[in-house]
Amino acid sequence: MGKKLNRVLLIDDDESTNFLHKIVLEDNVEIKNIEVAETVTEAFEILERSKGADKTEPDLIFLDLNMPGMNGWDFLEKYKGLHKNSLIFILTTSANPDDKKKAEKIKEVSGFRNKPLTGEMVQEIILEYFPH
Amino acid sequence: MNAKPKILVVDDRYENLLAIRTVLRDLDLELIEAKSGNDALKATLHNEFALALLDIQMPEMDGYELASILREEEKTARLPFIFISAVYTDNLNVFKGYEKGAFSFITKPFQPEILINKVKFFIEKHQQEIALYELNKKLEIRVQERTQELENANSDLEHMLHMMKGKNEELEQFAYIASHDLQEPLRTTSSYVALLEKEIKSKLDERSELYLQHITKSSERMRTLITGLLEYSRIGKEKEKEAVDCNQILSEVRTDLDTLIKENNATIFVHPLPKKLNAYPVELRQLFQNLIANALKFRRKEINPIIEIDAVEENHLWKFSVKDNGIGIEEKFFNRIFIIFQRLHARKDYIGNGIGLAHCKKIAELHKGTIWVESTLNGGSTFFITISKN
Repeated sequence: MGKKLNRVLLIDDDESTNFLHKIVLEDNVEIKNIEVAETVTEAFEILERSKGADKTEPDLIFLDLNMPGMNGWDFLEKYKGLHKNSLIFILTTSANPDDKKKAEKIKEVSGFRNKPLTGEMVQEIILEYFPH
Repeated sequence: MNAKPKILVVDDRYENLLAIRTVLRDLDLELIEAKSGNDALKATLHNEFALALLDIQMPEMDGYELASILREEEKTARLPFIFISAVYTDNLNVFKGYEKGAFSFITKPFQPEILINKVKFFIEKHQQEIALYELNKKLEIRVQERTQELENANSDLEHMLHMMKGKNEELEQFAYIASHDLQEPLRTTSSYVALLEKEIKSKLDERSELYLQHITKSSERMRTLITGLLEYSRIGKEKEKEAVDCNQILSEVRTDLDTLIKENNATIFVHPLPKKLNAYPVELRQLFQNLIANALKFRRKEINPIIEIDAVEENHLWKFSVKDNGIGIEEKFFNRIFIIFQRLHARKDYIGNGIGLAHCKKIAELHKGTIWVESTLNGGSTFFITISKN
């Protein structure tokens, strides 16, 4: 502990998954503001909203791939054009190696993990990406 | 064939052989000489001849005899002959093999020009035959190759089709068993959660109570997904087609959806539909029910839903259409909507498990047809379904 994050955005269409991930995050790192989006559209609304205000961009975004309508890949496609620099981690249930390969080619993606998010995963990410 | 054509020259007298050699020396030929019928036969064993020049009068075996023997041999059966005789003899009929191959006569003393022309004629003819033969051979090989290729491709296809059928059955079986067996532990989980809720709910803090709520919600979602999968794998299983009155089916569907239709203030127009369609009645009914229920669910809030159902007869099929004035679909999702469990909207906006249109697709395919959509965002959607007549 001891590390502090300002903002984390969770994008997943399953409410219960978001709820669980929020708890896991809260238990492992101090975060000022955890926001939840159940669709890609909602996620962009949240990202847009933060632009004008004094709020900063999210430090971390956890992204589900399989979502109704616009999916995780669609999110990444649109996100590229925004030139933001949140760290994006894909969290997916499908252990599909093709998805992993595809994700590795996208420079905006920092990591690829299988759901559910665990305390160890959070610790690992904090250690590696937020050492100070 | 770059080698020079070979000519067999048979004469028992050396001076005759020499004379022929001299006359033919300017032609691009290889002459093989034989002084008797026996020598000539030996020569045919080792050479392929284009033409034979035969002296008729020879001791032991005369020219006719030699020619007859050559005609009997497979290798030389079609070898053309030019008989060279001292006089025009009247025993032309002595040679019986003329029906098989070409032959000609020339009398001694011969004019060199005549011999040269005859030889040229036969050699040319021989070369044409060879060229034709080789062309034929090449064509035959090509035909054989192509036939073989086609046969291979065909058997590959058959094999693949066979495999696909097997895999498909395997998958359906798998989906059925998996969804059936998955229900068991799920039901147990739900039961225990229900018990837990009943016994300790009053003692739980707010957060723990939320945990329980999420367990219940997720189990419920799992249950609908599994049920959907189970139904999906059962479509068309062990059922027979029968003559179906589509008008009757539509009127039943409207009765079933009556409450929903009234709640939505919806108008449904049904044009005359086929009265006798060879189809699976339960599945066909499900198809229309899903499409109409979707049209009501994805209505535009500001206008009353209008749904129009029609059928057009085409060659071997009926093309049905279900048209609405609802929220429409973006083109990029036209294919995704027919994949099982794929949804376009957040669960809190529209309930559903992403199975309905996958069902419709499977039902259309069960009837050797297809399903597709034409739509624009906010411009309504038209779903087209084809059903094969047989």
